[in-house]
Amino acid sequence: MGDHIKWMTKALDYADEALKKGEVPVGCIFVYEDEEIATGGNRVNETKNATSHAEIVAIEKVMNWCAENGHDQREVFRQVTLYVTVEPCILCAAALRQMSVPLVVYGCGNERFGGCGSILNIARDPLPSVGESFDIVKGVMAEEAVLLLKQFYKGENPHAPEDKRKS
Amino acid sequence: MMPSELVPVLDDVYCRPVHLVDFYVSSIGDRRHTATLVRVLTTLHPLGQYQHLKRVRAMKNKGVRILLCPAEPQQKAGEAQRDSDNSCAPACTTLTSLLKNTKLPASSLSKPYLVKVPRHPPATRKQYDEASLYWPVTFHEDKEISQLLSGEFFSAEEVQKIKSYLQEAETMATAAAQKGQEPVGIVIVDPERDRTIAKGHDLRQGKNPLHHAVMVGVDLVAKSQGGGMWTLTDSDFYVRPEEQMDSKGDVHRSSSTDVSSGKEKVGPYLCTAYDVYVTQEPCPMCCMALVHSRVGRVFYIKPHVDGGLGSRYKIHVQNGLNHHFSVFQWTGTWRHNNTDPT
Ligand SMILES: [Zn+2]
Ligand SMILES: [Zn+2]
Repeated sequence: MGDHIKWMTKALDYADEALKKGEVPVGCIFVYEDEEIATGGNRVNETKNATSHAEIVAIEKVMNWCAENGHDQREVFRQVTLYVTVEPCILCAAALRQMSVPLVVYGCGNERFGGCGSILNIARDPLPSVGESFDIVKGVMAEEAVLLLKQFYKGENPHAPEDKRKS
Repeated sequence: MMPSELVPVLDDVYCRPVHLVDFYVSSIGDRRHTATLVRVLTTLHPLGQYQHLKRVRAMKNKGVRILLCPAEPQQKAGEAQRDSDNSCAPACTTLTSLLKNTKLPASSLSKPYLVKVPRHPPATRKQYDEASLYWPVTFHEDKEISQLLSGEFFSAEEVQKIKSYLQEAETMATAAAQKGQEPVGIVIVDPERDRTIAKGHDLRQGKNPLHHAVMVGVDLVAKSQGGGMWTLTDSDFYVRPEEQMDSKGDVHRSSSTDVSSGKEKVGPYLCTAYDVYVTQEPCPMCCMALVHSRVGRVFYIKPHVDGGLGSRYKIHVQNGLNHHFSVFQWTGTWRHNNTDPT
C-alpha cells in the first residue's frame, strides 16, 4: 500500500498539471521494475482529439521508452503497473487490456465513462480477441482525485449532460 | 431501393422477444360488474410497473378475466421483499378486499389463478403483436423506430450515397491488406455538406497496436482541424485541408457539444454529427472513441465477435453514457466493384 500511495501521489501531480493546462485533471504513471517509465495527463484540448486521455498518452510513451532502451514492448507491458487517478474509461480500459497490462491501480470511480465496472466492465468481461483480463486496485487516494475533478468542474454542474440512468 | 441492405442496430428493448411474468387473475361471473371492479382495483392494487397491461381481458365465449396482482410482489423502494411461499395469499387478500369494497357477493369472482402476461411494454409492432397473444396491452408507437424497422428509412438516393462511401472504405481496407495491415478501412464524412473529412485504414501491425482504423480516423479528423496526437503518414490517407474558419460549421458543431466543456471548447468533440463508414464493426476501444468524439452515425459492414456496436456490446446506446449515436450494418452485396468485402 505504501508503494501505491507513493506512485499515486505522483500521478496526482500529473493530474494537477493537466488541470493547469485546462484539461480534465487525470494523471497516470506506468511503473516497471519499481521505476517510473512513462507518465501522462489528458491532452484532449491540445490535440483536438477526444481520445487523448492520460492513459493513451502514457501508453505511447511506454512504447517510446522501450524503443529507446532496447526493450521488447510486449514483454514490458506484461509487467507494468498503471497508476491512474481516475478509473479508466471504456476506451482506455480496452486499450490497457489490449496491451496486456496486468494491473491497474486507480483513485476515484468514473461514473460517466468508467470501463472497470462503472458503466461496463471491460477489465473483466470475456473478450477473447482483446486479450487477458486485468486486475484492479481501486480507491487509492480517491478523495484527492475527486477534489481535482471538482476544481475542474467548479461553477459548472458536471452531471448536467448526463442521461437519466439507473445507478 | 434495397431496404434490407441497411439494418439498424437498435437497443435490445426493440429486439428482444416478449418476456413473460406470472400474474393472478380472476374470472368475472357477470361482465356487468367489470367497470366497478376495474375502478376499485385501480386504487386498491395499481399496476405500477405493469401499466402497459390492460386490466381486463374479454375471452371469446369464456367470459372476462381481470388482473389482480403480480405473483411476485413489486418491490417498493426501501421495502424488503416479503417471503413468498408461492401461495396465492396476496391475490386472495386482494380479492377479499375487492369484494368488500365493491359489496359484490363472493360468487361474482372466481378463485385467483395464474396466467402469463407480458413483462415489458411493447416497443415495436412486432412485440405488440406477440404480447397481445398473451394478454391485451397498450402500445405507443415510436414513429422513428417503426420507420427504421420498416426498411424504408433511407431513400434510394441515400442508400446509393452510403454504399459509395462504404466502397471507399473498402478500398482503404484493401490498401491496408496490401501493406500487411488488418484489412479495415475508414471514411469520415460531414453529411451536412456531403464532403469527406478523412480517409484512412488500420495500422495496428506497426509501432502502436492501438492504431485501429477508428483511432486513426479520429486522429486524422483532429489533424484536419490543426490538431492530432499521432504521426500518421501514409500516402493512401486523406485529410481535408484545414480551411479558413467560416465559423458556420464550428458554430453548428459547438452548439451540440457537452455543456460541461464550457466556452470556446469546440476542440474535444470534432467529429460531432459526422458519419463514420468503417468496414468492420469497431472493438470496444474504438466504439468509445466514437462516443467521446460525438459522432452522428456509424455504418459498418462486417460484424466482429467482440464488436461494440451490436455483437458483444451496444455501446452506441449504452445506459449511462452521455452520448448515443445511430448504427447501421450494411448487409448488401457489392456490384460493379472488384473489392469483395467477404
Ligand atoms: Zn479514457
Ligand atoms: Zn478498435
